[in-house]
Amino acid sequence: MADIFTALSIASSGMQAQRIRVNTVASNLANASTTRTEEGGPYRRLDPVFRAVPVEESFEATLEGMIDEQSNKVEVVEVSRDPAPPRKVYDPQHPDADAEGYVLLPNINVPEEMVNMITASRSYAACANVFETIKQMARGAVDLLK
Amino acid sequence: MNIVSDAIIELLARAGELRMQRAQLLAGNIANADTPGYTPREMDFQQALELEKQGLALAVTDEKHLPVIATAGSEPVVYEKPDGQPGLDGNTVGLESQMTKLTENRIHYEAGLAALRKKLALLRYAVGEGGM
Repeated sequence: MADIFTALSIASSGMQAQRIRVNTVASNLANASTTRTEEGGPYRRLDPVFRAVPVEESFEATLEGMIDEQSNKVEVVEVSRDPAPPRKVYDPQHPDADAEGYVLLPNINVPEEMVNMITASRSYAACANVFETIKQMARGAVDLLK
Repeated sequence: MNIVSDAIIELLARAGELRMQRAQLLAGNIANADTPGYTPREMDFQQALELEKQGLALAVTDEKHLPVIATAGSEPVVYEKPDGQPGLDGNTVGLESQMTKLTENRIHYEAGLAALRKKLALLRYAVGEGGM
């Protein structure tokens, strides 16, 4: 069964996932030249992993055996570290340069992060629009009482 | 004749419910526009409503007619339907076309509501002895 609140929660799951993505992009961009981290070594790129999850059904619906696996929410299952190797740049002046004068810099590609940010913000806006549309539909139904 | 719940009101109400269900489906597709490997879901609205109409509107006028079992409450068929070229991650959600479908769905929903409002206004007119 479809109800407004399920549809709204699906839209908000999309907004939430995209917000997490923007957060990781912000972190990646802020740390584009960080050479020291708590784990040691240069900062490594963060990458959120999205997964589609069937919506949770209400108790009554489950009881009636009407489990709805048709609509999917989205969920960030984990924020993984990009396994790509760090960039090696020759910069003997750098305090973290090795004996040969090379510095290990984060595996971050700034243009790629910017593209990621724009895509995330577009997807966020799309979900916000969906939320608004469904809210208006529900309001229309409520207005029948007037 | 039961004026309060006539076939048209019931059909309009059920159509609204189906529209809401489709909106939920499309919301799920849009939320998963960046999920790797996700294929958008779609439902056959026309077919679902057709079943509904049969269940509600076919009258048995001859004893040899087979009664049509009312299908109210039957679930519409949902299937996976790729929408656009798959990206590198195998996702086939076309954000624009999903948004278009959602808008179209909403307009139909609102048209149904408007018709329902008219039907209810007629009822209100009747119970108000004409003086509203």
